[in-house]
Amino acid sequence: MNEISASEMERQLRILMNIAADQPPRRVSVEAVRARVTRRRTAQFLAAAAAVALVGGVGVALAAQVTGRGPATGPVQAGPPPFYLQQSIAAAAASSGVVRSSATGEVTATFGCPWRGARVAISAIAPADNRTFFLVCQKAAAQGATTVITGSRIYRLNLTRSGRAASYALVNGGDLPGFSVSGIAATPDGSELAVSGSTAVAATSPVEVIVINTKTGAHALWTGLAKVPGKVWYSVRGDISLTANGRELAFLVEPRCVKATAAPQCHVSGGEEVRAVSPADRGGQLSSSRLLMKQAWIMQLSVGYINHAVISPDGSKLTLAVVSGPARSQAQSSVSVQQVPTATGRHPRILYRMFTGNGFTYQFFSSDPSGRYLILDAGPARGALANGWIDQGRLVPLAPANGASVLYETW
Amino acid sequence: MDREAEGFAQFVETRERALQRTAWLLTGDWALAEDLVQTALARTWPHWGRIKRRDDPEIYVRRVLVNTWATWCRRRWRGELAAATVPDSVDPADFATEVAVRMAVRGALGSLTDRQRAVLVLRVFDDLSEAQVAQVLGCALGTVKSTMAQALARLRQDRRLTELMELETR
Repeated sequence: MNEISASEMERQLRILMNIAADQPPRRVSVEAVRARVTRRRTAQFLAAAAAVALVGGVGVALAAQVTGRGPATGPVQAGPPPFYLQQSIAAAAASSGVVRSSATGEVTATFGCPWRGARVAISAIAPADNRTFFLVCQKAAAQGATTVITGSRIYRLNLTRSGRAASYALVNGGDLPGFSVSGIAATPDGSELAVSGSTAVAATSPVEVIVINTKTGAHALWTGLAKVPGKVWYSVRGDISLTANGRELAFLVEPRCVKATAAPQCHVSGGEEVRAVSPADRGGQLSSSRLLMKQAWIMQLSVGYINHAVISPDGSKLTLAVVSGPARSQAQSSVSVQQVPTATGRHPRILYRMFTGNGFTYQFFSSDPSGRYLILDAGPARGALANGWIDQGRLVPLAPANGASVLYETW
Repeated sequence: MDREAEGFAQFVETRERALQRTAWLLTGDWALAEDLVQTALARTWPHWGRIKRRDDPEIYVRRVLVNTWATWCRRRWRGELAAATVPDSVDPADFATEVAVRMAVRGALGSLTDRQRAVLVLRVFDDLSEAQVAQVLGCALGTVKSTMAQALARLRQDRRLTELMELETR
């Protein structure tokens, strides 16, 4: 060891200390600190009162109540998940992504596809717990002037406690030849997955949702309606979500009338809808779903859209990412995250709202498996976008603070 | 929330993890580290406005953190580790290497004096300059340099640590 210089030794010590001092298991919150300050002030006040009482010859015992502080910890609040997976424009070109520490923004690992020649599909990452994620890897092939997805595979990525990529494993039942995935959801224990998409050969194929039991590899297929002139057709968006027990599968749809000459008229109203099927592992027709909420129940249809909808783990709430343009009542555009009970689908509670001036840019929204920690990347029509997680009405920044280059994040 | 309170909340939000990691390297225990950070922040909060005007808040908080820890080291209850639950838990991942590193680093830091450990952690882990370390510890620049040299000399004699460093060098 004598040949190692002091600076080299410092460098190596820094690496070892970084490994040794892993991410703290719990967060220290401002509330906990304030509570401690209050206790200290109360203790000081009581101590002063006790001293006065002592001088007066009474209440010696009172003094004992305010002395003797040990190393007991104050109230602490569990913080957001320690790591998040990020896909950025640069990383997408390199068909990989990075794992970042939520606390420091430091990149702790990179991830990619273990399937040679495949790349991680954008937004197709589902968290199961804080250290297990499901990635969709897709292979594409040129067909004439277009590129067609030839198949998808779902891998389980495990992280170590310090955020490094520990292992990849092909999910049981996760090989989906000919299927192009647009969205994925997982139960917190990772026992059930749902992927939405369509068979790659026909771009106009109706969206299907495959529910996969990762223990047995069994598939249950939910199929969408084919377009029939004169009938209402439900355009299923990519985003789907599952309740924690895997029973409810929720998805966002946009009902449309399929028009054709000489076809009977049909009528749709109420805008976008969030619908659910249950039990998710049974399979069937997506048209047999039940309505959870309609866009018109929470906003004027002319004002904006629901861009994303996620059902809570217990199935009691829907969390919605809503964008709206300038309306008479408000001079600015906005991006907001709102919650409605699934029982009524009405009376939204606004968790966060960002006013964006004239126009907006919406990149993505995602939720952790608990449904408590929500990431939003949005901002004005031009300029920097805010990338962060929602905490009591504020957006706490995540790295990079300007989310313009970020395609997707989840934790 | 007024601006001062918001500034403090933002500081806690962004820096508490880094402070906890420093505190762990000082105490070698996550529960104590958490308690140390809470105590340091609670002592800082009533004076936040003045600190922001006159000082670098981070340096000030680290100074309180190290001083509080030094006070704890002198106390009798230092040896007690209160825990409501058994701290060991099953982890599905293979983290033998991490545990080995953690044990070696904790053991090596434990062999240093309190002052040596504080200088080493602030200088190497927190990457503070020697002048900043002197500011945090309230001592002369020369003291920081000599204490750092003594700490490194001592760590060179730690067999487990040197083995890990040799592996790192290869």
